[in-house]
Amino acid sequence: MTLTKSYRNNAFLSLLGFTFKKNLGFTLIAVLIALLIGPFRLIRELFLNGVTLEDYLGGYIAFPHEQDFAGLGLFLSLLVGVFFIFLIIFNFSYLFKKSSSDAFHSFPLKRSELLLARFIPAFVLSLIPLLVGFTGEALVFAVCRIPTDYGSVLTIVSYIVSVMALCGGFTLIFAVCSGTGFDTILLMFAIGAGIPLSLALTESFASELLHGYATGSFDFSITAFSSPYVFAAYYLWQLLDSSTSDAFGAKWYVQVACWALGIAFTALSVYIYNRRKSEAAGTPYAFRLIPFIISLIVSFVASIILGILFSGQDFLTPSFWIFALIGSVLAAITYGAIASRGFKTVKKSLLISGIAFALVITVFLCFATGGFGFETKIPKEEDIKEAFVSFSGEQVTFKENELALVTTLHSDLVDGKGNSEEFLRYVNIDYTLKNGSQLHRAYNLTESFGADALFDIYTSQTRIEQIKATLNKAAAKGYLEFTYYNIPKENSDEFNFNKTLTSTDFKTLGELYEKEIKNITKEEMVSAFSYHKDTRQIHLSIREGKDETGYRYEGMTLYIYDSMSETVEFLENLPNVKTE
Amino acid sequence: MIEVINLTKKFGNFAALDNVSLDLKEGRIYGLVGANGSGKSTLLRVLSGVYMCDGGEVLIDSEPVFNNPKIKEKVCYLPDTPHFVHQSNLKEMAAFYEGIYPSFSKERFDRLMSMFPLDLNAKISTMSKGMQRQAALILSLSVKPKYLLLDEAFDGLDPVMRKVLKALLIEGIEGGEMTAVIASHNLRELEELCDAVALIHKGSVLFNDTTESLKGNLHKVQVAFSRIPDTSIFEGLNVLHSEKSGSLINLAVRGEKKEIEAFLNKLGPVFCEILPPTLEEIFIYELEVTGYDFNEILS
Repeated sequence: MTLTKSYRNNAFLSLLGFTFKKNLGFTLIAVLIALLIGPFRLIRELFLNGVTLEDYLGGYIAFPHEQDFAGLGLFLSLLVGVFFIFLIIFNFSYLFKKSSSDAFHSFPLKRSELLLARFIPAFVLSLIPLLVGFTGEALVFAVCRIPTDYGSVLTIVSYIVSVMALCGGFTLIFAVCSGTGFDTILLMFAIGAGIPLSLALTESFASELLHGYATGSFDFSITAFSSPYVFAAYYLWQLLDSSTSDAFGAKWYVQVACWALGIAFTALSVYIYNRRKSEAAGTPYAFRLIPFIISLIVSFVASIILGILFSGQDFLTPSFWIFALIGSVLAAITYGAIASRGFKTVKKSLLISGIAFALVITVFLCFATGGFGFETKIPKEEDIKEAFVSFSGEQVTFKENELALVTTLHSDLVDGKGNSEEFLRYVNIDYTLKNGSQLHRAYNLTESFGADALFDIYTSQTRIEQIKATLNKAAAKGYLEFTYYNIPKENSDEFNFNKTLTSTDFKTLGELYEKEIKNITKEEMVSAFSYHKDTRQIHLSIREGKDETGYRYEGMTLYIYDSMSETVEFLENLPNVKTE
Repeated sequence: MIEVINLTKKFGNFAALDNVSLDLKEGRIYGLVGANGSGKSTLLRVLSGVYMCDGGEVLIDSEPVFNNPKIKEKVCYLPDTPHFVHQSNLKEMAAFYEGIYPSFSKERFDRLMSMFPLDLNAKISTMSKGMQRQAALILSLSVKPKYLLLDEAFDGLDPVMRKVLKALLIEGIEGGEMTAVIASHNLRELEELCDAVALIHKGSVLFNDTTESLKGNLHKVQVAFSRIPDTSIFEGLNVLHSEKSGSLINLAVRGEKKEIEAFLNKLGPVFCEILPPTLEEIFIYELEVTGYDFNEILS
């Protein structure tokens, strides 16, 4: 049997080749757009807009080649992402019409083969505009001899390909569950964007209602990981925005995980497809649970959004709840009308809106009643490995000693003790427990703060030791950058000085600070942090080292109080930096 | 052989096929007849592996057909609305089918193209409904399937093309290479063609027999008496249908011809004739018993 004949006799390969051919026209258009937004634009800038090589090399555009690839990466990813999703929907459009569904499902192919024969061409052909865009620009840079970090470029491309696998497999699930192209897109948005939005809105409840809830960074949050689309977009942005090697998306294990998940989603699609009834062609969804899930998500999100819009995010006002109810009902009925192509399911929609509204109430009650012990949870000292306390620029890490100061502060904050609404804006406590788990708390001190406990932390031996350690590090490295900032008193003419210190001076400063900080009063601390009165500040930057992005610095800011007379005298007697 | 064993197929709560059992032997042309919405097309889709069963099973050559490429290679299904690849012509579709079905015969395709007045390079979407049906038939017949399932095969074909199709089907059957199952309302066409017929009504099989047996078992009787009798005199017969037209009584009677003759002769008619019914008449009479009667519908 010749190769051609064996290919011809293999239905899977035949359908695969056929699908590749049918998608080629679209691919050419995508390639053309990729060329236009990438290499052609670059050529136009270089040769038509008068931007010269010297402008590039001389820093006219800072890090031009990387930034150019960064910009290209963003637009190209968008183009490739949209193109890929379009191809998936196009290739699976046979599921959306009865006649084509009958024809394709009558062919002598397993459903898994049918699925892969339509999916693989979409994935492979979507890579072409991506590679053409990047390769084109790289060639232009190479020809024009502009230095380019090709390693970073490869990392970016590799990340994009891995999240294509992830998002492609995920999108495939929606394609095999849906009965029309429109409903596929609706499902994509409901799950891909609706779930992260639900989580973000739930978090808004938590941050408003839960005393001590730490909103935290989006990085590594549940919301960032709740949808492959959000994950892909966020970490791509981060990758393009920062030093490539440090970015989360650049890590090999992240990309491997994306591939693994993409394959898992594809396998799940096969499983679902094997259970999909062919007669679902032309109906919105192949499985009855899906409209229910979408309606629930849409109602939940709309309920909270409408409530927030009309109450200024005050969850305790009647207007929030009235508009939340209206939002859930309107959203459920609207979606129900779209899904059923008419108002046939109003009763069902009302039921779903009721469930969604009940969910909103449940979430509210969970957080309003302390989040199942979240608010009052304080770890025992013996369970704590490390506690990190930060407030108003101060950061202190407690390990074994003085942990009682942290738990006392935490307890005061939980109890709402203390005074001074204007003293400090926030205090964060981050515990690392001996069992490896972490506990994060953040408090806005608008209503109460534990002044005693915070003062004790501020004047604790642990903090002093850390300051001395930083000063000693500076001493070891020698003077690099040091500013002695004289906080001007009212209508005074005092201004900043830059002082020079020797290694011995750094050590002396540490010893004097340790000696005198314990003598300050609570009132002095309040005055300094709130009103910057009766104090001076020193800003210390220690150059730690150099990496591919430049120098790294460790910084420290210290208040030097007027009552710390010896320290003040020592600093004022230091020689000023000579200015030219 | 196709075996349908207690097949149930539901759409939501509606049972389109309810506990259907059929055996379709090889080398025959089967007709699937039934009223609109009776389940004929649904049955064909299950047989071709398009639909999955909700109960029972469908075996082709002793293997289940759903998701089984080895069996589906032997089956070619032509639905009532044929599907063609977007913007394709017959040449491209033939190449496509050649890749999908290992038994596709280029020689047969070329021969069929010479018989049907179609342009190989014309876009199928620009063709008339009848020409599209011809195109679909050419492709299906070129596959040379062991089992050919046709839904409304004659729909849209002109009389000449219908004769051509019948000849081709018979040729295929006589060559021993094919079994055909045709779902149709056009009972006159099926009468000339089918070896066996199954009547499906509301998802169930009312009867499944060879046309010879069907016609042998149901008789059209025209009888006249000097005095118009009450129809109760026919109580000893299994009468499916009776109709008076003046003094002439038309009956549809199930049973042996000799027994019917003997019974009627005892009644002393002035005229009695027993005729073989057409398939259409069998269809109407059998469905009348179930209540699917045009008089009921009109009333």
